[in-house]
Parts: sequence; C-alpha cells; structure tokens
Amino acid sequence: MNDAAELSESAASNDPEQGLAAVRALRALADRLEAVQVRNAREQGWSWQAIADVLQISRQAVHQKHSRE
Amino acid sequence: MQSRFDTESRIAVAQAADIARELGHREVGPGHLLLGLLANPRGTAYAALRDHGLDLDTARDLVARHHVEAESEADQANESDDSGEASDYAEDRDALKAIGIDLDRVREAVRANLGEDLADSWATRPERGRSRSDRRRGRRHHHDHEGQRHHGGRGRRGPRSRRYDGPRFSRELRAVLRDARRATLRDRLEVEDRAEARRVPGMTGARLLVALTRSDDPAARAVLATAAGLEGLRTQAEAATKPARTD
Repeated sequence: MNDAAELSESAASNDPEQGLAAVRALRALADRLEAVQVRNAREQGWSWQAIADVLQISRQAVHQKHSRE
Repeated sequence: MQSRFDTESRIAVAQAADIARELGHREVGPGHLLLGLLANPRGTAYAALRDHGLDLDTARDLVARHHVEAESEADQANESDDSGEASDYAEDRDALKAIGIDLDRVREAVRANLGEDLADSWATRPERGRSRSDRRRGRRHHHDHEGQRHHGGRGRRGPRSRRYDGPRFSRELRAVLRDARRATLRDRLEVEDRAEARRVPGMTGARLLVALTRSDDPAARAVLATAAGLEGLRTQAEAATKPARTD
C-alpha cells in the first residue's frame, strides 16, 4: 500500500475529475456489494426486517429493491 | 464550465459519431474523431492534417480496418444491455485505486466467499439490470420514489442523455477528451489575470488534434502513422491552440 499521505491526497483531490470519479466508483461498488450481500443474507435465512435494520433503511425499501428472483 | 466546445470541435464530435454509425461501429473512438476533424475543411485541425498529407478517404479506410471494439468481452461475459459495463468497471477500478481500494481484490474475495462476480451488472441498479421480466412481481405495487428520472439508465450514474442516442464513446475517446480538457485547464492556470484566463480558448479542434496525437488508440495511430511527420503535425496543432497574439 502506498503511504497514507499520497492516498488521502487522491481521495480529497482538488481535481474534480479525479474526486468525482472516485465518488462514482464508490457508489457503483456499494450498489454491487449491497446486492450480493442482501442475496447472501436471504439465502442464510435473514428476514427483510433484519437486513433493513443493519442497512438502516426501511424494510419496504430493501424488499422493493431486492425481492426479485 | 471551463471547457466549452467551440463550433469546430462540436462539429467534429458529431461527425465522428455519424461516421462511426456509417461504418457500422458500435463505439465512437479516437479514429472517428480524427475523421470528424478531417471532414471539416474550414477547421484549423483540418489545415494541419492536410498540410501533413492526410485526407479523409484514405483515413476512413484505415479507421475501418483498425477500429477495435472494446465491447466484445462484455458481450460474452453476460447478455447485459449495457455494453459499456466492462469499460465502466475498468474505469471505476482505476478511480478506486487512486483512493487506496483494490477493486480486483474485493472482487476476488467476493468470488471466493460468496461465489458471485462483482463485475456482473456493474453500475446497473438491481431494479433495472439484466432481466427485466423476472422482477415484475416485485415491482407491481412499487412506488418509484426516485421518480422518473432514471430510465433506461446506467444505475446510480444517472440517465443517459436523451439528446444523444448515437453510438457510445469508447474508453479511449473519453481519455482523449479528458486530455484535451486538461490542456485547457493547464493553459488557464498559466495566465495570471482572471479575465485574461477566461479568454483562453476551451475545447477547440486544434486541442482535440493535439490530444489525438497522444492517443494509444490503434485506429488513430494507424491514421497518424501515415502523416508526413507526426512531430510536425503536433507542433502545428499546438501552435493553433494558442489564441491569436496581439503583441
């Protein structure tokens, strides 16, 4: 891993191109991880309510977003 | 914005998309942009290209022969309707690397522990990813809180522009445009006086041409390799990016 100073410099880059791209990429990553993790939780028998509690969103919201299959 | 496209560069980009479509390509690449500049005899970039022995017809044949579609990988990996998925993933991987996240390692860990590929449906929201039909059930009484803004979308990255429904820009082309934009910013930073800085030209045909001479894209390189002196071409294009001197 690079040294911390260099990393934080990129994360808080004042080049909007770089900073915004990092934000977008983090969102894409979070979205994908959420889908994978919710599916895994359901397969392990978690209730929608339990998943919603951890994600701190409403049960309806989780269900609506992930209930297909 | 700092980098407004001037008329020449706008025409070049529009022409590039038209030419890509004519050639039956699904992506607009740097090669097409070069053709777009060559198709406009009134442009400053055209003058530089012609001075170095390039012409539209020859160049078009070269682009037709050397254009590489970056999408085939994504097409094989899944039947997604978002053909840019693979390149989106690669782009996001680079962006995350800059803040210390190794996306490939995360992907590897997820594959090992959960048996899923993160790159599948990358940057598409669960609601409207791949198989629309099988989620009808979940959506029947669905109040779309996000409203109608994100349709036919790229997930959280927002909707595709409705004004533009031509072929997509390739990763290499986006890199070229970024390069040209950065050049504008650099030039502006050199000028002390703010009012003066605002007069530094934004995106011009010449700037696009300079950026194109630096591209690794095979089609663009094939065309530029036929130029009589690539260095000279770049120098002439660079000179054309400077505003007319009054001193």
